[in-house]
Amino acid sequence: MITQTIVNGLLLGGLFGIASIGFSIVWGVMGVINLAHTAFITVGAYIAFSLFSTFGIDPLLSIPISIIALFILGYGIQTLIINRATQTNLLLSFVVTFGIDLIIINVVILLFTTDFFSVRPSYSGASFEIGGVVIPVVRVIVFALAFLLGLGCYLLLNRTRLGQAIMATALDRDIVRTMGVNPRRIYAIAAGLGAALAGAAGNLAAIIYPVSPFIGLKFIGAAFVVTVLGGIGSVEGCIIAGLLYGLIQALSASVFGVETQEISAFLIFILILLLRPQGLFGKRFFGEH
Amino acid sequence: MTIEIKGLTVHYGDSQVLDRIDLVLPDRGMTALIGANGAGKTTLLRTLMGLVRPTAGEIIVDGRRMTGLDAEQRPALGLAMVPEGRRLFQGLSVHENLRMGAFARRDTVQIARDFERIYDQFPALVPLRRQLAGTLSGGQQQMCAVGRALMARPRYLLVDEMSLGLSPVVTEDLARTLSRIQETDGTSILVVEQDVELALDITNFGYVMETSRIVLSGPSDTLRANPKIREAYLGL
Repeated sequence: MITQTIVNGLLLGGLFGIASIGFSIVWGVMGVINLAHTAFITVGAYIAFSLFSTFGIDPLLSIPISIIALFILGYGIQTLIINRATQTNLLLSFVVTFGIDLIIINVVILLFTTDFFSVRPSYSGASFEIGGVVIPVVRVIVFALAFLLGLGCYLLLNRTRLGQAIMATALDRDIVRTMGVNPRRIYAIAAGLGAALAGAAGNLAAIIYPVSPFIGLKFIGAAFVVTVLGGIGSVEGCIIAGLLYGLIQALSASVFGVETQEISAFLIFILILLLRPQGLFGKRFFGEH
Repeated sequence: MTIEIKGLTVHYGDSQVLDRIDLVLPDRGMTALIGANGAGKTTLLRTLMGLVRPTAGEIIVDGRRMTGLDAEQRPALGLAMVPEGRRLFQGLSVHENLRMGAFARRDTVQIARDFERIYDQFPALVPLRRQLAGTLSGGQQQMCAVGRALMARPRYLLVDEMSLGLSPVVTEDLARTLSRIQETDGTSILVVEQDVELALDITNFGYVMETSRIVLSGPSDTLRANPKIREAYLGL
């Protein structure tokens, strides 16, 4: 029973991690708390749903499409709106991204109404058993893909020329210009990357949860808790904090009841922050400007 | 091939920080820019790099006017800066900092050789390659900052307050490295210094700034002998 709960929690935790990485990167690189992040997740879920219901495309195959579509959306919004509106003023970034969130969600409602839809590929009911623990195949797939996307993102940021430029810009957006880096372009790429990961998360979420305009809201708490817990801007921190978040929620739900799971997650979040304000895996020197 | 600055004027809001600056940076050699705190020396370097927009005047690099050219386009023209306060990417390693210096370059093979060259010039950095730049001592950070600028293979190198907060031994070491680089690469180096004695020692020509204007210029030897300079800056 307890093993089952732990497995359930960890499997969902992978999704919480991937749903938060983009939020964390955007916050870490440009100091923008992007309240439209969960709207990007919602759009990803609807892309999976539309392609599945209209063309019968398997939701796993639509992930690259969600990633590309959301990258373009995130890049465009950053270039056209956020770069112009604000770069450092946190309060203004709240207002602007909240507005963008409202617009996106209302467009989704216009197109799809507020009905609930489901995306059920042929393998959605399948599961297997190891030592009395029942493991749904979809959740394993979702977990594995979330982990691979997280790993890819980590390698992109830490092992490539572009990734290094993103990190350097996060540390000093003035001096990077003297080395030929255009911070506005880096911001647009980081925003596109953040949105693309949100799109992938939404696409994956559509396989597990009912698709509605509110599917993204499931992740708003997770995005904050996981980001701060993992250390703002830290991809590896997000993955581990995501697993932890899933675990805490599952344990709390099974011990105290489902209605306590958010409360428990936030309580432990506050507790950890009291003991370790930089998060579990906060990178030194990041976010100090 | 030179940098020519003509009538360069900069305002921060209502206050004028550079007032009709004329300055020539030759295509090789070491040039000094000296003057008291707040005279506008750092602003002049930042304007050259494109980080500050002038209100009047122009900068001509190798015959090309810089007007309207963004900061991020200027490294490709051979400009690099060692900024005041070093401004390393503290959360990146020494090696990653050096690599960022070469960001505008595409000649991968030569970049690899230049890494070796920087580590040859600053052997103290070799054991620190993987260490975060923010954890280095002041002297090590300055070596890394100079190394980062050199990784751009600049034809014009602007060095801002290199000696600030460093011991005389480290400062002299860095100054020798700059002279050596100047000789082997034929780089043109502009040093902005509080340490006027050092600046005039390693350069062949100098400019003196006072409250946003250039008030004096000439060969470094002549400036050293100038009674006004001796009194105001050398304390003699």
